[in-house]
Amino acid sequence: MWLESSSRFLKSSERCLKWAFWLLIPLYICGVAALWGAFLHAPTEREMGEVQRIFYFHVGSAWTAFFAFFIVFLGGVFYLVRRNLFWDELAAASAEVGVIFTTIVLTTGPIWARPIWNTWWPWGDPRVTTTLVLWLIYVAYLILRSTLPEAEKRARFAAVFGIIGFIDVPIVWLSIRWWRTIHPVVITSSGAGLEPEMVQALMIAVLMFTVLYLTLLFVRTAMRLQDSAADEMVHAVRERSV
Amino acid sequence: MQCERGAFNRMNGYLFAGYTVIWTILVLYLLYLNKKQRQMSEKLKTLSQALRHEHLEE
Repeated sequence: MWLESSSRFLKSSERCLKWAFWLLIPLYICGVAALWGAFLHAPTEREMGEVQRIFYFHVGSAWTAFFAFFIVFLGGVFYLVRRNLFWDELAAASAEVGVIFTTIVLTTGPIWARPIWNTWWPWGDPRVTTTLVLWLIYVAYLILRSTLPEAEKRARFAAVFGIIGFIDVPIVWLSIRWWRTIHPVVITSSGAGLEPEMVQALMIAVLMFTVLYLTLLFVRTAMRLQDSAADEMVHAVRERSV
Repeated sequence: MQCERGAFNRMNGYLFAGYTVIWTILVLYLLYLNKKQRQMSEKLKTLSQALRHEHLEE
């Protein structure tokens, strides 16, 4: 029984690695295009100057982090419905990659803010604060997982945590509309307040970060499945020695 | 937003720092994955050998 589930995990892991492999060429093309878009295609913003070019990768990684946490939410729902550990591993991998992208958002933001707002970290700003809370939620999610050794219990707790934690994502998105903020509102209901070349550069950056996220997600899921396969093998070895 | 093509100013240092941080975080994460993958391959190899050895003994 242990060996059967172990080989099932390994097969799923191989499939994930194959998907990640097929994404490498699109990732390379999108990476080059995103750098071209941010540094050569997009014009220099008159008031902020060159530092505004951080915006393309900052927003790209923010979008990807939101998407990653949506996959954690979906993974949690699918796990609770189907009780298949694959969804739990997918959610865990997505949370980890999401934390990486949120870290990029939280570090590039202050680097942009220092010359523009004259402060590294505006504590009163709702978007900055809610994004920090988002990062803390998913770091807590990963810590929670590492403290629970039993796979089924860990998956159940993490699924519920991932579903509830996702509530902060729409709060981050809507915070600049709900509360007074100094954060720029770039995308509004009437469109983006940007030059067409800037919108194109932003779209390419978002696409590149999405492809990067998917590649990392598949690689990390494959690794987590291998880890689960190893755990099943340990059970098999123990069972035989008893 | 108002635009001005080809303007370079003193804020380039911040721009450089921003992109350096992005690449550093991504490279560190890839190194972490690489290390973890190597450990996992080793673990799987050892376990497969242990299982094969027990199978032969039976």
